[in-house]
Amino acid sequence: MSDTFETQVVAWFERHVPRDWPGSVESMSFDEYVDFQRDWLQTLNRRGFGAPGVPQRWGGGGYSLHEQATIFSAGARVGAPPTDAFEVSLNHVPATLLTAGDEAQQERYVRNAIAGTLWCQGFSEPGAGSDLASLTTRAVKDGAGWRITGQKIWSSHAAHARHCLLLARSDPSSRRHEGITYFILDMDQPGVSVRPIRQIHGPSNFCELFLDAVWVPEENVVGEVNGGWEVAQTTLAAERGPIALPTIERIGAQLASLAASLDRDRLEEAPLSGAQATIAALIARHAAVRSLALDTVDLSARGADGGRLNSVLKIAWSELLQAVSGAAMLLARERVLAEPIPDNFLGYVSGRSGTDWLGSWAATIAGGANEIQRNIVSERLLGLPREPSPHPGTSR
Amino acid sequence: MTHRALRYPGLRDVQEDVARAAATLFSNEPDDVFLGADHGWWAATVSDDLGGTGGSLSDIAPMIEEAGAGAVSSALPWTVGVVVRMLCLSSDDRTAILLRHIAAGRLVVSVPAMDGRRLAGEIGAIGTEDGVDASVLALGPPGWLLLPVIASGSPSLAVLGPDTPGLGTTPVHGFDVSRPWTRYDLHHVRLADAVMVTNPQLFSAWQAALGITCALDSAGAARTALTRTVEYSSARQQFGRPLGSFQAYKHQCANALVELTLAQSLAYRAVRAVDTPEELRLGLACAMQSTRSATAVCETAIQLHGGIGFSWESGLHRYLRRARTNEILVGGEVTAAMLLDEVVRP
Repeated sequence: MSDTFETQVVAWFERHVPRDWPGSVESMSFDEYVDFQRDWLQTLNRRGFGAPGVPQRWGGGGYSLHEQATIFSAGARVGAPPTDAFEVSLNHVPATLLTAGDEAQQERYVRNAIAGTLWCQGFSEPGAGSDLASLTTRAVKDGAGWRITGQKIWSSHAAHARHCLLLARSDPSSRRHEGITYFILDMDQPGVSVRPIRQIHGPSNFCELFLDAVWVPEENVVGEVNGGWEVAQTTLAAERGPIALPTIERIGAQLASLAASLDRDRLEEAPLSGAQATIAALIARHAAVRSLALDTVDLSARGADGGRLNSVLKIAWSELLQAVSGAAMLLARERVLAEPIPDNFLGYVSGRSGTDWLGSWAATIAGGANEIQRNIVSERLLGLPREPSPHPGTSR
Repeated sequence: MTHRALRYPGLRDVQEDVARAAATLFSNEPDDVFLGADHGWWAATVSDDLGGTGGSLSDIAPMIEEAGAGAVSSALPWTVGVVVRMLCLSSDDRTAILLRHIAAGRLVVSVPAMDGRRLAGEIGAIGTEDGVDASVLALGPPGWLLLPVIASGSPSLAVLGPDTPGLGTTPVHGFDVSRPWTRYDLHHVRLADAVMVTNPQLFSAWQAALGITCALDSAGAARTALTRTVEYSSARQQFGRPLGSFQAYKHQCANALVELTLAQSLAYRAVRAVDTPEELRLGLACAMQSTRSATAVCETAIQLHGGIGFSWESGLHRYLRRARTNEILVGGEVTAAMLLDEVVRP
């Protein structure tokens, strides 16, 4: 057996993944589960697997895109715990600060984020979801910093976050993306209040975030004042690349397991049952989606623009997740009706198919709702006419 | 928008050159069944010592896709993708002679439309003294036939020439208007003197080979259908603006691009997996997925062309017919069963 990188990585996960961790998580409080994920993150960080794409200098693994894909796949195949509580810390923070932040910000925040400081994102507002550029949270200059007032929503992990990547309108006369500034907000101050929102599948992972004249010092402005929209693009780009691979791999593992469970007593010449035909079709579709995900890694690694395919991939994998978890649920039949509703999020493909199916709408709605992705695909990839502008005379 | 824009983005430069050359040639002679043969393309995967150029399927794959993109009659796709590949499993001198003739473009072999394993099962196990009785619809002009059988207990292919006693042929003009189809009627056809290819994994190898061929062909057909739809979306105006500016129209185009991208990605990955441990699983997966995705794209193209789409004259139906046909050839229950087997018992 050759000692390839993949073999080593799989072996590492097999040695280090805690036994029967889903069972022990079910009885944990939210705080205990965050601590559990932090412990696992710190184990991953010993091999640079926690943030495999971030340079080693900052506590990441410094791995190539192909190696990152291998790491994500191996973890998924061996059923490793998620580091979901730290998704902003591990992805959005380095992607943003290492591209758009200054040296002081990088030194102060990136290493700690990867080591397990909890971050959240403050972008969406009740009136600004898909249309993020219409946000109205106000930032007013006040001496050596800013006072910020407003409300954010769908802010994942805000309940326990130390810091927040925050967008606010700094130019009162602007209406769209020209007058927005990107801030690093310290969550531990009066004026910040957080209200968790329960999600349809049970956990309360995201929150409303109320900001009442909260303070941000000047050195926590990321990029230029009123130049926050461009900086935000680097944050949104963190959701692309090999990040979909763990979920795609877990979907594949689940399909293989479903196929095996339907295999008993099947005679060679017997016609396929409806369930078998459904699973075979999903296995075929999964192969295509996985192929597409690997293509985006290949293209990015070659320096070619993987962006062309990212919106296509997002639509494809999120809707595959919905289809597979839905099929798994129907195959489980009445057994799924006795599954308890969880408080903790065990990942998109936890094997509790009722929960997984309901949770799949996070994939089709968040990260740029699939309707928006379809606009992007048709306009930027096929060149079809763009949507009419919301404010004629201004840029979109 | 040119066809170029919707090509698979992972093509290597040399594959893009091949695709461009094929597009030019195929557009000139869409009805020539032997097209590509005198350019040596049919010889691409035949070894040097048999008069070929000893290349891989990767080299010729864009050409198979172009055949679908043009919905042309050329036998190149199934000749290179299936016939040559299957005959290369044999080390018999007589198959070597056949390969020479094929490489030189002197010989077209038809492949049955029914799944190989199912057809062999319906014919029943054949002993050396038995005669085969069957009526086989096949893709290809009247002439030679590659017939899956279970001969002396082993999965086999019989190569039957037009002079075979008991073999009759009738051209069939049916659903797929873009390719030649023939009904081969076999009456007590003895296999004792036929050229035979035997291999324990023959039927799954056949399914994967035909699967990859149809996947590429379908991906090409779908690419043309979507390209024409995008062109139409800007050319045609109603209610004072282009059709493509309506979001419902736009989103159907986006869905079609998602399906096209999936079809292309998996087909070319399966091509790269040939002669590796992944070949069977990916060949079967693209047989199902690439053909189904392509049909979905061609369906959308008809709908988004409105009344024009429903006219014979527009020619759009050729792609839909071809895509659906490919799906029927390889995207059905036999492939699904083989794929499940491969996933559960790799």
